[in-house]
Amino acid sequence: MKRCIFILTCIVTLYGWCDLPKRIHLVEDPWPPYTYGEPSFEPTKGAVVEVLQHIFHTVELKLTLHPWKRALLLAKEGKVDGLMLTIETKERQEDFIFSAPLFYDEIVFITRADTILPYKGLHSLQGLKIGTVNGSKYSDEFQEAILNQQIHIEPADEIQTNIKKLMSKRIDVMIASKIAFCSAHKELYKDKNYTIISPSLKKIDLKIAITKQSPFAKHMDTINQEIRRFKNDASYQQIRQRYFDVCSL
Amino acid sequence: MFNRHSIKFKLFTIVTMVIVSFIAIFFLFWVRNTHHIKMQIATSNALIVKRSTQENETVQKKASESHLEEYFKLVAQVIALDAYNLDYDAIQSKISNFLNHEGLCTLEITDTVSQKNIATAMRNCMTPTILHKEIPIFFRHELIATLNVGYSLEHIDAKIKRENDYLRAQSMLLQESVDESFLNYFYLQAVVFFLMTLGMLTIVWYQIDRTVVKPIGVLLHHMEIMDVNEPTFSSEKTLAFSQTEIGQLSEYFHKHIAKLIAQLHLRANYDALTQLYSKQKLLDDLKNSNHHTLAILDLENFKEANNFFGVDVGDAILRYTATYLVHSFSEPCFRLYRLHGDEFAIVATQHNTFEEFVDKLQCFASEFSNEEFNNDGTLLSFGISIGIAPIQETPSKSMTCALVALKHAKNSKEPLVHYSDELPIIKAYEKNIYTLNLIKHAIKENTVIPYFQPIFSHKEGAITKHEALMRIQYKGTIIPPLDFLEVSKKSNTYHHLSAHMAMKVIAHLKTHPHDSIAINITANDMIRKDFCAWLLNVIEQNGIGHRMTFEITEQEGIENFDVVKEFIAEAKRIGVEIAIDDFGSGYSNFEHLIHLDVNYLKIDGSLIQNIVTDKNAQLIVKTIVHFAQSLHIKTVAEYVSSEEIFQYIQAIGIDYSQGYYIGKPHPKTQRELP
Repeated sequence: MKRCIFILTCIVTLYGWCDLPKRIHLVEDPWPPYTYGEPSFEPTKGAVVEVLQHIFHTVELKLTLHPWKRALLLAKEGKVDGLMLTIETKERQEDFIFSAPLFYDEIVFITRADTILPYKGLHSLQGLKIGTVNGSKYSDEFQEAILNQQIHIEPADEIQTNIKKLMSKRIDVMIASKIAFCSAHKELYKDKNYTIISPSLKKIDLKIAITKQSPFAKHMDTINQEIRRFKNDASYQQIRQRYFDVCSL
Repeated sequence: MFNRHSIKFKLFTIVTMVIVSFIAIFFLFWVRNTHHIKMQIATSNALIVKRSTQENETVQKKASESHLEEYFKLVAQVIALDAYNLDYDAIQSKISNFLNHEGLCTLEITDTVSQKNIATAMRNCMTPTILHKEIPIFFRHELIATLNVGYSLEHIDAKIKRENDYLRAQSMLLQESVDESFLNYFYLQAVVFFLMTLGMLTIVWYQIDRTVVKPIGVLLHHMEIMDVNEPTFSSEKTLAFSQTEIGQLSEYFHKHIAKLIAQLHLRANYDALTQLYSKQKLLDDLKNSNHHTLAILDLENFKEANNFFGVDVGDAILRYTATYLVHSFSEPCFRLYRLHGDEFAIVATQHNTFEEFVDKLQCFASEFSNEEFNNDGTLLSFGISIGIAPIQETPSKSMTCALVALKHAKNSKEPLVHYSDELPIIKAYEKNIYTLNLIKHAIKENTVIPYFQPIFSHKEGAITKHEALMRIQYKGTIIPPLDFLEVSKKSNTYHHLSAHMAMKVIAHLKTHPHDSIAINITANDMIRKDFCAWLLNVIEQNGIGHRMTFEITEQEGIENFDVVKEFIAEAKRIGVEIAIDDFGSGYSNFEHLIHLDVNYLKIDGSLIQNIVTDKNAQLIVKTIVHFAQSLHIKTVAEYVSSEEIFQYIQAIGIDYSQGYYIGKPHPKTQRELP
């Protein structure tokens, strides 16, 4: 029976892939460890890159890195087929169809190791300089706090800048995805001179976002099936280990 | 300063005109060229300014546009990353700062992906013309956005205008400076040319003055100070000019001309034969009021002695007379002159009274008449006639008065005659002048009229023709030819009277077809070819030749018989008959009858008027008549004044009679005896 189900699944999957367009173009910003590389170029490596290569192995896969806003704009405008990896929000659901989660992460506040920050909600960060990345929306609550000027943010172009600013005490605390922070910090510093504040602000599922204009939008089921299949594959775990071990997730 | 007729003045004028004209023309050319250069500079300046302004405008605009384009590219580069990152705030901030650049009006960033303006900066340029440019914004060769720029070049135009205005102002300043320089240069030129003219005039005039005018002046001065009686010259002043033509002329003048002039003066003032003063010297001296009396002396019978013994003896007589005069009038108060021929003159000065002078002259005349000139053993003596006259207003009048007195002395055989207005010869002169005026009046007013004296033909027993005799009608009186004939011939006006007379006779014949008229033709008339041609032509044209007779008078005056014979032949060809007038008187002789083919002989009245009683006259007249009859020539007796004469001449066979017995001259012709 299992064999029959497997065969049937394979047949359906094959049928689904056979119907897919031949080429998909996805964009993302440089977001280690998910993506590595320079903007406007193809990513050199990254966890999501390898995952996507497996998932879209039957079509021609084109990946390009852009600043996040540009990547998002390109995707929204339908200039590309979608985003490699992003958080599903209500706002984005208007433009995108999201896949099944590829990875899990957390939005956390990080301080220097020598700083003690008793975190009891966003209000406890009042009066502190919070480093953010331009264009990033960490959570609705956080965005609302910014709008209400409950918190004071100091945006930077990239996460590395915020880490440097944090370590040089130019900001008091920074917000970032946990995996991205760890990966970026590892690139800059050998020692663990930071403290990740618990609890996290938000737990996030990172998904592929396909634009509604893209021909791949109607094949999201096929893509999700492939994701689920791949997540069950040993390669997926190997990829996670290779890229996410730094944060011991 | 100058005599305007002098060489100095004329040379100065010519040289000045030439130099001034030359300098003026040169100056005009110079000024024209200078003006041309100035205009070229102005034109070049204007051209340079025009080109510079145009080039400046082009370059400035180009540079400005290039600069703006570079600036736009810089803006694009600067905001490329932000545009790529879609960092609108950063872009807005930056382009707002970029907008401060001069000339920029608007900056808009249009995202390529969304085609939306992601940033806009604007400034009010307040200019009508705004240029637009699109600058693509690339990020790593990817077109990510477009920079739309609105800009204005008004500030560049204003800048160019300011620069060009400055350039034009500088050019105008330069041109003004050039104009001022040229004006100063013009004044300088004028001064230089003026000084040049003065300099050239000075140099040329100095040279002309030194080489021409001064030598001529010196020469003239020498001529002025020269004593004509003894011309001597100083050659010192002319040495400086000896190399020039004037110097040579001066030298030549000194060597030759002056001597000739001196000789000329000598000959003019001295008589070469007698060494007395000349007539010219007398005329010059008579201008001197220091003299009171002039006496002119004439040797009697000198001409005969001169002709008889020859010129050498005549000269010796004159030298002898002169020597005698010098001895007789040796006092300084007398001056002796030889006029010409045998005429001498003595002038007495105020130092001598008139009476003393007259006494001395009479004494001289008496002594000289008694002296004898020894001509190789032949003793000759000469009387002296002297005419004296007081010095008159003019030398010529003094001479005339003295000569009149001398002539009267010679005519009256008196040794010495004082001039007086009452002298008979003066009356004769006055009468001659009156008669000449009368003749001129008659010629001018055509008052010559013919009087006709009848000629009686013995054969026909009737008056067959008339002789036209000349009369002048003057103020109601008829002047006979005796009163004017001699004067008219001596004053050479007779041919005019003859012409008038001939015209009147011809006119008479034209109106009186039955009359035959004889007119007098003199030898003087016949040699005048124009008169003869006119007379014969008029006679022929009127067909009156057969009724006319030419009476040839004064045959002794005929010198060219060929001319007379030719005239007679021509006259006879047209029917005119020829008569010899006054035959038997003077030099009239039978030779004329042989040479001249005549029709009539008019026997002179002097033979006819006494023919009744004078046997000689009868013999001569009979001989003439016989001779004429032999040659078939008819004879006419003149002066037939009585019936006895008329009967006698008819008896001896004379063909015609003319005289008061036949009829007196009358204005009209008559056909019958009175």
